[in-house]
Formats: sequence, C-alpha cells, structure tokens
Amino acid sequence: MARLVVMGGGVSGHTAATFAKKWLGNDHEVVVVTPNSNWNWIPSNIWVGVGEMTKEDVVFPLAPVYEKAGIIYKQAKAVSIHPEGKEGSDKPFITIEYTGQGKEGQTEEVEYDYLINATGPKLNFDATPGLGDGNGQLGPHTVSVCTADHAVHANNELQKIFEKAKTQKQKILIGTGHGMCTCQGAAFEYIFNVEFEARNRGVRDNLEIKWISNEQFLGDFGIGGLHIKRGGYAASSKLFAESLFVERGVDWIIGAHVNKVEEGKVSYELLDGTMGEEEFDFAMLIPPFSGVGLKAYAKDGSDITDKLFAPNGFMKVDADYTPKPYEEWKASDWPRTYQNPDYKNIFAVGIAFAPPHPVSKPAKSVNGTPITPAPPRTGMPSGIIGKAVAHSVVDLIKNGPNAHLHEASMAEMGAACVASAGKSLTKGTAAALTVYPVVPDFDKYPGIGRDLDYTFGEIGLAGHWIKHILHYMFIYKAKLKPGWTLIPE
Amino acid sequence: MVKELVVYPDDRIVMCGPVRSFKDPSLPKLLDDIKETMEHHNLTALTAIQVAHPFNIAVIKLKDGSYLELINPSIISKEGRFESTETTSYFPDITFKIPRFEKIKVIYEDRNGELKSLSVDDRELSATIQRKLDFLGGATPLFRLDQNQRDSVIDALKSKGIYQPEEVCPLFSKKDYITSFNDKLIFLMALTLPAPLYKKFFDFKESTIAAFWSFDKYSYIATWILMVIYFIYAQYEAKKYRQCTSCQIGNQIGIILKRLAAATAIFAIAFFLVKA
Repeated sequence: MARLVVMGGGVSGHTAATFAKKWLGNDHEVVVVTPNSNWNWIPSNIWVGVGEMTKEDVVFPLAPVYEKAGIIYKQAKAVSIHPEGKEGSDKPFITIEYTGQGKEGQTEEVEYDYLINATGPKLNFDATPGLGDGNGQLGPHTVSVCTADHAVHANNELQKIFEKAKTQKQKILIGTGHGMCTCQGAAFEYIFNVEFEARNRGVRDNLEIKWISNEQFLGDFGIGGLHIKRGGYAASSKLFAESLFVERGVDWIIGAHVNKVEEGKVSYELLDGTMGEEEFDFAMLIPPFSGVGLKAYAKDGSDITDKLFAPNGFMKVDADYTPKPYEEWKASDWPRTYQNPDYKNIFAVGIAFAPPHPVSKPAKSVNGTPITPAPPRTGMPSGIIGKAVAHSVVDLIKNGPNAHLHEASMAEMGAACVASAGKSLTKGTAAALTVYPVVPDFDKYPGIGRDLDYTFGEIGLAGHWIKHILHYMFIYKAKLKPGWTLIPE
Repeated sequence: MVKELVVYPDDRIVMCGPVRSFKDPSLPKLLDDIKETMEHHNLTALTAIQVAHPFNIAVIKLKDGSYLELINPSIISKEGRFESTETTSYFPDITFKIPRFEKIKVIYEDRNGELKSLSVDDRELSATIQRKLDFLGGATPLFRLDQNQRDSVIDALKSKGIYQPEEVCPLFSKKDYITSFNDKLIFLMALTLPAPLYKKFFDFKESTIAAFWSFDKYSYIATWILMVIYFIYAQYEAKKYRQCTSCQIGNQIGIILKRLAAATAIFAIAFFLVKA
C-alpha cells in the first residue's frame, strides 16, 4: 500500500487529493494535511466582501467530505519536508503541527511515498509596512478579500462607508498593496462590485472610487494583457478595461508599488520613480504572495530548503529557472509535469510551484524598485494542474517509477475566467474570457503570443449568470456530490 | 525606406504586440523607416501599426524637430481633461474632437530597451501621445467619439465613398425589429389573460375566448421561432461590427431568455385561465 500525502486543501490540492483517491481506491492511502477546517470557493469571496453572500455560502467543512471519500484528513499545517527520511529510516516524511481536531499544537511525522505540495501562498501582508500587523496578518488600516473571514470583515467595513456616504463624501481605494502582487483579477472584480453596490444603495455620487495597481497598463491582469476576439475583430484588454473604468467612473493609478500604508493613507512609488500619496476612507489592497515557509531537511538534518524551494518560498519543479532577459523567455520555460527535479516523488501544484519568471513584461522603477505583476496560478489552471499531477502520481503508484507523467503546461493550456462586475439576477454583469494559452507563446503565435481563435471575451448579464452558476457547480463538485467528476476543472 | 500608410478602411490597424527583442536589427531599421515615412507624408506622429508592422512602437516629432521613440509605451498617470482637435493619417482629411488628459506621465523603452519615463505638460504633445497609444491598443479615434460625432464622421466617410458600414455599431439594428415584434406579441398574449373577466363582465362569446387561446398558442410558438431567428441574425450581425455592446452573445442570450421566460409564464397562465 502506497501513501500519497497532499499538503493543502485548496482548489489544486483538493482536486489532486480527490481524484487520486478516486483512481487509487482503497488499495492505497491518500492523506490531506491542511490547516483549514473549511474549503473555500475563493472566487466568490468578492461577493461576501460586498454583502451579497455570507461566509457560509462560500465555505463548507472538509472533514465529512474527506470521510465520505475515504481520504485521511489531518487539520494541521505542514512544517517541514524530509525527503530522504531520517537517521535510521529511509522513509521520507513531513512534519506537521495540528491546528484542529482537538490536537491543536501537537506535532506529528507523516510518512509518504508521494508528496504533493499544494499549500497555496502565504498572504505576505508584512511585505508592505502598514499593510500587515507585523505578525503576518492583515493590518488595521485596510481590508482584504483573500479569505472568507477577510471578506466578512471587508463587508462590515464597507457597509460603514456606505452608511457614511449617505451624508458625506468618502474615498475608496482598491487594488494591489505591493509592486510584486498577483491576483489583480480579484481586486478588479471587487472594485466593480463595490461600485455596483454603491449605485444600488444610492450612494455612488458621494463615493470617489479609485484603482491602484502594479500593472503597467490597465488590463494586464498579470498575464501581460490579452487580445480578445469578438465577432471578426480583436480588442486589447487594455481598451476593454479602460472602457469599463471610464463607463463606471472609476479613476486609476497604475505602475504603482504601494510602499507604506497608514491610517487613511497609502504611499506609493510609480514606475517613473516619482512618489505619491493617496488618501482613503476604505481600502482593499491585495497583499503579495510568498511560499508558506516550509523548511526542508536532508537525512543528516542539514537544511536543504534552498534545494527544494526558490528564494520566494515556492517549490522548484521541472521549469527552466535559468535567469534570462524578457526577450529570451520561452513557453518551454514553464513546467510540464510539476515534478521536483531532485526528488522525483515530490510535486507542487497551484500557487505552490515556483514559476520560472513572470508572464507580464518585467519592469523596475528608475529607483530600481521592481514593479511587475507576479504570474497568476489560480482558478482553472490550478485545478487542471492538480488533476494532471494526481494522474501522474496514480500512474507512478500503479505502474512503477517509469510510468509516463501527465503534462499540463500553462503555456499549452487554455483557461476560462469569469470576472464579476456586479451581482444581480437581472442587472448584474461579468466579463467572461477565455485565454489560450495562459502563458503566451511568442514562437508559436508571433506578435501577441496567443491563439485568437481561442481567446475571446464578452461582458454582460449572461457572464454574471455563468459566474453564479459556476459558484454552485464548483462547490457541488468540491463536495464530491454525484457526478462530480463530470464537472470540468 | 518610406512605408505605405495603412489608411481606412484597411483593418490591419487593430492589433499589435509588444517589442520583445531589442537586439533584432530590424528594430532600428523600422524606427528609421517610420521617421522617413513621417517626413515623406509630413506627419508629426506615427505608429508602427500604421505602416502595417504590428508592434507597440510610436514615433513623435517634437517641436524642435527631434524624434521621440516610444517603444512599449504606457500612460501611468494622468491629470485634467480638455477637448483636443485632432487629425490622423488613418482617416485623411477628417477632424475629430476628442476628450484627452491634459498632463500625462508615460513610461516607455528606448531603442536599446532601457525603461524611460516622460512627464508631458504640453496639451498638444499629450494628446498626440494618447492618440498614438490608442492605436497601439487597437483603437482608432472613432473609439473615443460620442454617437453624434461618430455619425458626423460616418457621414464624412460616406461623402468620400469609402465608408465601411461594419466599422461601427448602429444605434438601431435590424434585429431590434424582431424583438419589437415579439414584445408586442407577448403584450397581446398578456391582454388575453383576463379572459374569464371579459366573459363575465363583457359577455365575450366562447368562440372569442377560444380565439384568444389559439392566439396564445400560435404566439408562443412564434416567440420561440422568432428568438431562434433573432439569435442567428444577431450572430451574423456581430461579425459585422467592431464596437457593439448589443452584439455580445451574453446580451443576446439575456434578451432571448427574458422573452422566452415571459412568454412561457404567460402561456402557462393562459393554459389555466384562457383555455378553460
């Protein structure tokens, strides 16, 4: 009997664990180690953040789902990886520290035959002074929608602003809280949902809503922007986004590295090196991501964290990490199997794998401050990668170490994205986009790097309906209800 | 070498990508060709896409006669608004009045790939850069116009005999005739619902009520047929227009579903109230 241990129970980890268990059956063990007791459909957090959904709408308890699936669930955080075992044992293992199940604080060694790292990111609030509280948590000056609890808090603060806006002017600032952030899409959705709700509440006239982000142009979204085919024509995401911002009366600051957050004020540096300040009454700023801080140790106890992880804390996989200038970036730099090059029984999926480089064109301000969106590895790609890696591990277990590994390169993978711009059954809007490939391949598709036949988008009411349907569909799938495997990632 | 200008209605204007390699010897040559083309045609600004090279490059001739080469440019901040009077070689002999930012900050790369920034206070230069950056984003000046101005430009293009009707979306589309007719059908279906009241208070005959029911049945079937025709025609029309919010498939589906839902609800109520 082999044991697969999956560290993390988010989109990619949950997908990997559940598919692996389904394919492996009861002949082998699947263990999920995650510090959370709930699964969270993160894309709907933005609706919790404006009061259109409750926390309970976007989360469900993991324990009964894993019990039903026959997956061993340990509510614990992974602390370290020991890929060579320890003195007296060659069996690799991880150490974990419980956060629930009545064992809070207890540590344990969990041996594995195969390990999937799906820990997701650490929300690195403290990377920007004032954005965090100094202890790695969200600071007192801004809100976040990165977790369901953050979104509940965001909504509470937003409602206070809406209340004040009935009688006085208020300033809202939404975007990215650091020059190296990713997840511009979540902030984009949130700002337009806030604007939509403000109109519904009749307080829009008293609100100044502003976007601040590290993108070099509106519509970059961390993937270098895209051209969207509509009818027989192609429109750039820059124009697409700019039109929406103008139409909804939302001003913007781009190319900005937020370097300090204080009560009611952010300070930022622009790509041209100039410094600026922006006041706010309410701010939702996405933090930068980093690895969760896992350590790795060799058999003799020596620290091999640098061997397994990139400097940003994300796990090295079969990507080409050779530093090279933007013009030499290739689609082939991106990983295909997500297997660690040194330890063939370790994989990393979702945000946990270290990308070889950004997707957007890198930039530094004239002062040398890097201001470049980090590449997104969330949503559909993370689910696809999780499933592909689960397939590989299952084949390795069943067919031996020479089994063919399944591939899911982001440079050969399409993705669909539905970005909400307002939640209402009759007046809601969302931008529904497909992108192929996620990472542009300038050799295969000279010029814009993507296949226009498969890169198209719409914004409208139906997009909102799709987003709402997907909410229920993916939660249904994650709960492993009948037919869950038929629902695509 | 002087390049041929891309002029309306040539649609090679709509898509260009970033310059990735600054070691490619074709880059300085292209920049020089753009300048020669500008001199030849007496232009103050030109983008690579306007000479059919799909790259994010704009060249601006400054007042002192020097050239500003903007590669992969982006406006990172802006201030103030004013109405700019502009012309472009893409629409020869047509003047536009377009709202622009008064002051802008632009980041761009030079021909060596060095990131540079530029603060522009001069309104004319600011508007010129914004116009060129619009082209790099896939937008002609038509994109920035309100409907009245756009109509004027279309009239001007028509007078020159070069107007391509697929360029912009009309305010009223032929497919609106379908929805308008269908809405009237649904409205009339709704008017049949109080049939029991008509019978009781106005002494309508059974045959009249039966005719109402027949009308409801045929109208309901007609609604489905009309919506299928609407969808097919809307898809055809969507391929004709570049800027057209009503052409988006999401809106079309919404329009269809709303009418089908209304017709189905009315038909269901009619089944109990009118048929009986």
